[in-house]
This record gives sequence, C-alpha cells and structure tokens, in this order.
Amino acid sequence: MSGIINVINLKKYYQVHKKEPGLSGSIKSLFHRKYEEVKAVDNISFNIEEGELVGFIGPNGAGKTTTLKCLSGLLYPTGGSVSVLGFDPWKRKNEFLKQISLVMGQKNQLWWDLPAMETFILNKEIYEIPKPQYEETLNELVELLEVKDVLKVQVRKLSLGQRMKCELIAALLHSPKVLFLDEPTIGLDVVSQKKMRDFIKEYNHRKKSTIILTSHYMDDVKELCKRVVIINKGKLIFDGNLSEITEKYADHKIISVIFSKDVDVKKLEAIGQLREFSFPKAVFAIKREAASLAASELLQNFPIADLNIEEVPIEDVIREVFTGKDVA
Amino acid sequence: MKQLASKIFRYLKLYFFIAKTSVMSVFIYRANSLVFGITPVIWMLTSLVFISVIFGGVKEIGGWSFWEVMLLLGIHELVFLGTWMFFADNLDKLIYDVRTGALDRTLVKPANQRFLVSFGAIDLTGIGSLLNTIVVLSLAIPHVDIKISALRIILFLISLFSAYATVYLLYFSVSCLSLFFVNAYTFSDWLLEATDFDRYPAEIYSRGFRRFLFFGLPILFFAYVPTAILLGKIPNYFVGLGLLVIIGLIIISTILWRKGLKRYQSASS
Repeated sequence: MSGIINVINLKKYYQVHKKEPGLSGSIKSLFHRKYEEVKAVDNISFNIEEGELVGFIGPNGAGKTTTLKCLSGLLYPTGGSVSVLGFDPWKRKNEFLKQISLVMGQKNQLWWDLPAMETFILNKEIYEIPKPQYEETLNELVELLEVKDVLKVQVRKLSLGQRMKCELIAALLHSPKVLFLDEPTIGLDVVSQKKMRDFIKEYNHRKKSTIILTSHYMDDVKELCKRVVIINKGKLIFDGNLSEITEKYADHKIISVIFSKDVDVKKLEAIGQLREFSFPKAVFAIKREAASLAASELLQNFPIADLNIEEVPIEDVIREVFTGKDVA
Repeated sequence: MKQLASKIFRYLKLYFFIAKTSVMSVFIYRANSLVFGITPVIWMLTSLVFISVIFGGVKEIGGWSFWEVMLLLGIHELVFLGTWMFFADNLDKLIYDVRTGALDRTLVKPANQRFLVSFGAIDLTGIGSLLNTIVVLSLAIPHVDIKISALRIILFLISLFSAYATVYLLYFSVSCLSLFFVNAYTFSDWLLEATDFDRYPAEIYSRGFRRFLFFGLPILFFAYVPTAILLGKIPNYFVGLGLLVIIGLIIISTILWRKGLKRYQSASS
C-alpha cells in the first residue's frame, strides 16, 4: 500500500436481466426472469503514485469507467479493497470528495440555462473554497483554457468544445489532488482534442495532480500518458510503460519498401510475411530478430529506391490485444 | 454545539446560493416567468367546482361545513405549494437521475448528498398556487369558527411543520425506491394521486381506511390534521402522533437511502 491510489483485487459484478426479443419475450420476463452475472471489473489490482498521469485503455464495456466510479466512491465494490488518498472512497467523506474530481465527457454538471459562471459560484460554496483561492484558480484556468469570452454565455448556447472546457473548470476549481477524467475528448474535433490534451498535460505539470484518464483516442494516451493500464472484459491485462506494449505484444517489425523497378512477387514472399504489395510499394511483417537480416537481403537482391524499418503502430497492437489475436 | 451551529450556517448559506441560482434559471426565460402561474389556477378552480357541486345537495359532509372544507383545501394548497417549490421536483428528478446515471454528479459533491438531491434546486413554476392559496384562505377564514388561543396556534404551527416533514419524508422514501427498482415513477405517481384523499374531511372515509391514511400511508397528516386541529375537531394528541409518524419515516427513509446507495449501479457512459 504505497501509492496515493491502491487497488487490491477490486471486483464489481452486476446482475443483468436478459430479455428475449418481442412482446412475448416481455410477457415471459414478467413471470420468469433470466439474470446473468456481468463481471464489469474482475479482480484487478494496481497502485498509482502521486503526480502520475495514467491512461486506462480498453474497448467499450471493458470496465474502465466502472473502475473510475469505484475509485471515486460512486459504486460500492462487490469485493476487494480500494484506497484513494488514504480514504475508502465508498464512504464518500467530505474531506475525501474535496480532494478529488470526476469529469465524465458524456455527463455534465453545469446548469444548462445559465452561464457557466453561475455553476462556478455555486461550486465555490459547495466545496467551501476561500474567495482568494477561488479567484486565483478561476483566473488561471480561464487563461489556460482561453474561455474568458464565453463565461457569461448560457451553457446551452456553447459549442461542445467550449462546454467541455467549462466542465473542466467547474471540476478543477477546488484544485483536486486526484483527477479522474473519463473520455474528456469524446466528440470533440481534432483541434479541440489537441487543446484539451495540451491543457491536461500543462495542468498535471503545474499542479502535480494525480490523473487517471480513460480515452478511446490513442492520440490522447500517446501524448499524455507514460504509463498505461489495459483492461479488457473486466480484467487487467497490462500495466506498464506505453513503449513496453509494443515490445510485449508485437513480436515483429514493419519493413516498408519502395522499388525502383518491377519485381517478382514470389521472390518477395520468400523474404517474409508480405502484408501488402502494390508496385512500387511493399510492406512486410518480419520477426524482430530477423528484421535486419531481411532488410539487408532486400537491399542486396532487389532494386530498392527507399526502405524503412518501423515498430508496429501502437493502435494496431492494442486493437489486436483487444480482439485476442496475435500481433503479427 | 458550535460545530452544529456552523453546520446549520453552512447549509443555510448553501441553500441561499441554490435558491439564487434557481431564481436566475427561471428568470432567464422572461415569457416563462410570466405564464407559469396559469396551470395551478385552473387546477384549483376545478377542485372548487367539484366541492360546490357536492355542497349543492348537502349542508355538510362528515360534519364539515362548506367553508371548513374550503379551509382544508386552502391548507392543502399551502402544504403542496411548499412541497412543489422546495423538494417535490428535486425528488422526481432523483428518480430520473438514478435511471440515467446523472446522480453521479451529485454523489461526488462534498456536501450532504441527501440534502443536495432533496433541495438542490427550487421550482418556482408552482408559485401561481400562492395566489390560489391566499384567495381560498382569505375567503374561508372569516366564515369558520376558530377559537383562537396561544395553545391552538402553537399546535397548528407544529402540525403544519409536521405536514411538511411528513410529505418530504414520504416523497423521499418513495423516490429512494428508484435505487432498488430503477423505475420508481409508478410509486411516485401513485403517491401523488393518493394525496387527493387529504383534500376532503377524513370523517367521510371508513374507520379502517382512515387508520390506513393515518398510519399506513400517513397522508392525513398533510392538511387534514393541521386544519382539524385549528378547528378543534380532533384531540390535541394527534399532533404528538404526527411527530411519532415523522420519527418512523425518518428511520425508514434513512434505511432506504443508505441501502439504496449501496445498490446504485449508475449507468454506462
């Protein structure tokens, strides 16, 4: 139990009602219900140190959000133990809640019909933030997120990007030590996504807050998180540096070649797994240990205009890990 | 003691800010602010016509004169005016929030979460009922025989306070059922319909049903008891019974809230 967040054998199971399709299924389910136990989070353990920015990745329904909800005290775990900042989150002590924040990209806390500023003022009272600290934090966040001009506009009239920025301000006014970000860039255009990422990076750097981020966008994870936790079907399948994923799951490298003259495809296939060929370009997947030998063979025996040896893109590795295929 | 005083001050201050934000939220739509009083007026007129039709054939019902029933109706409106303004809408929203998972945002706030779900906003759309209530009460009071004494006024005020507490606790308990059954609108709709029994004198109901409305589903403590106390139609100990009902409801609602939160499943994002 060394980190600021300690999770040991966390489990969260649900009973889900299974209904057969159609009206007859609905009538049948009135008398005889079939339930299935869903293991949303199944026996996962990890520790997170103060100031870390950790990415939680996994496909839809993997258990990422459920884990965050257990860590923020929203859900009562089926089993295991969780400690955040030394508190049992489930007890939802005010001292605990004043030190954390949960931002969910698809849920909002801003008062819809009022300018965001009114929610900020209400949050100041709920979180009992002293006025000088409130003003200082607000000014800093407004400047960082460049939203000075929209603070007095009704929330319902803001764009999704502007609204998300205001959501972040509302969530950060009390300067939380631990921040749970659940898909903060969902639905945003690429420019807004980038701005949001820059902000999260800067905030983590300035405040030394501990941040757990879930996202389906690999750019978020690649740009922000050194460490990633991969969850699939409720189970933790990887916890380590992002760079280690490729080493662990991708046992090959990608060799891309541009030929200067036409070549015999059969001869190319003898080099290794030919993934793609459309003159003048060919792409090979070659075992790590054989990659340099294959490259040298290509250079010696074929008319090469250009040759590149690359790691498998992280997105491909993770997609293959999720689908349970070998990354080859 | 000092700690308690500071806690009360904190929540009064917080409530002031909630009220302020709610008022701003309503006033942002000017047209809405002007017309939201019409519906309660129509609703009240319907009730008055119904009572007038009944009294067209009889001089009293259950020992209550026309103006005494009007007073009962006025006090019923007074109780429900506060109910709608201060918590009924929030508790309806609790049921919705449990279904959609929107309760999440309240549960991570560092303040008493039962306070936030119950009193997190003020609904000013029912303020039109205030006019109804004033009109009905000012018409009824000069026509009824109220023997004013300090004791009677104190007992009336206690029973009126008990009425608000009982309505709140009952509504809160019913809304908490959403934490167990997810869709608890059926229960809250049923409770809302049942409150109509409190618009008429309890004496018109059978003894068994009356007992049920006192101690099973205690809706007669909403307006009937305060009105009957004011008119001296029931013994004073009913005020004490009302307080006992409140204690019972506090226990039930607290158990439902705590156990329910343990079962809260949120909703997928």
